[in-house]
Amino acid sequence: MDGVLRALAVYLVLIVLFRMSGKRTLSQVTTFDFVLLLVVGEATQQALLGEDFSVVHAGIVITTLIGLDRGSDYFAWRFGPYKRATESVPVVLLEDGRLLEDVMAKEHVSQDDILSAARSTRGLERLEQVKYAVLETTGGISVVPRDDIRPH
Amino acid sequence: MGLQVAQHDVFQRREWTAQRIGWATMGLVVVAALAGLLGPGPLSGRTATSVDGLVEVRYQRFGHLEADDLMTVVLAPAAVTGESADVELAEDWLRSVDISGITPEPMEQVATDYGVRLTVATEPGAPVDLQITFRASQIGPIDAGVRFEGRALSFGQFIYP
Repeated sequence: MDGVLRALAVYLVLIVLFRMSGKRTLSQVTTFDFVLLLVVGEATQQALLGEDFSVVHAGIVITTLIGLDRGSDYFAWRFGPYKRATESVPVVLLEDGRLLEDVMAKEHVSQDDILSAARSTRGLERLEQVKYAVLETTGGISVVPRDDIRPH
Repeated sequence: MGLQVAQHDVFQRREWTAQRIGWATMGLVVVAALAGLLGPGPLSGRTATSVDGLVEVRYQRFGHLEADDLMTVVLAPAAVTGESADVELAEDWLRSVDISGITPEPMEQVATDYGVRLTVATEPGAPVDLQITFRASQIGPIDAGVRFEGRALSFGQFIYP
């Protein structure tokens, strides 16, 4: 019983924290993000396991965590409001070649980030070649090129 | 030219079925753990009572290896007549666990043919709550026994690895 409740508590704390930190937090895992993840794991270990180091306890904790994630996934698929609450929504950053500065400021995305995504995913050279840029829920920026330069 | 993709319909359907069975199993494991079938919990808590009802032992049916566990020996007020009470713990059980603490601290611990006799100071007519914290050091079923003035209670515990 202890293991299930501990896993539930840690899952809730983590989901609230990572949801608050925003879409971009772990979109590109930099070296420091990686270290941060390890430290978060280290910090939660004690809360998850307590003083019980038995295999069965670890199994219960892991099963609960994966089960919660699976259940959350299912609810997100089934119920729109739940999906929005836990996974956020995509947001348009650039529309018809026009940068939406206020949205970009809110999400802390710079023009360079959009250009970088345009180069790496579409091989585009200039901002004029971008029709849409969207910040996806996963934190990545997807780029739609203008029709006249879309490759055939 | 079609899409070059390593699709395998039969395998994919089998995988979906297996996954759903897996999710159901995971749900059952979590429910069983919550209920106390895989370790301490509501269904795991048991009470053994002597025939005359004066001695009661509360313990967990299921425990985890090397994890903190608690056994409480309760003596009813009518059972406490003198300034001290002798509670004995069975040798088999003591071999399977490491005792980490006893509250109230016994005045004396004596090895007997039954196991170990704990003598605790008591107040005549007041109930005794002897709390024994321990960690199981052996996997599988272990036999436990508590004796108080000829009333012997024996019960089993199961320790998960």
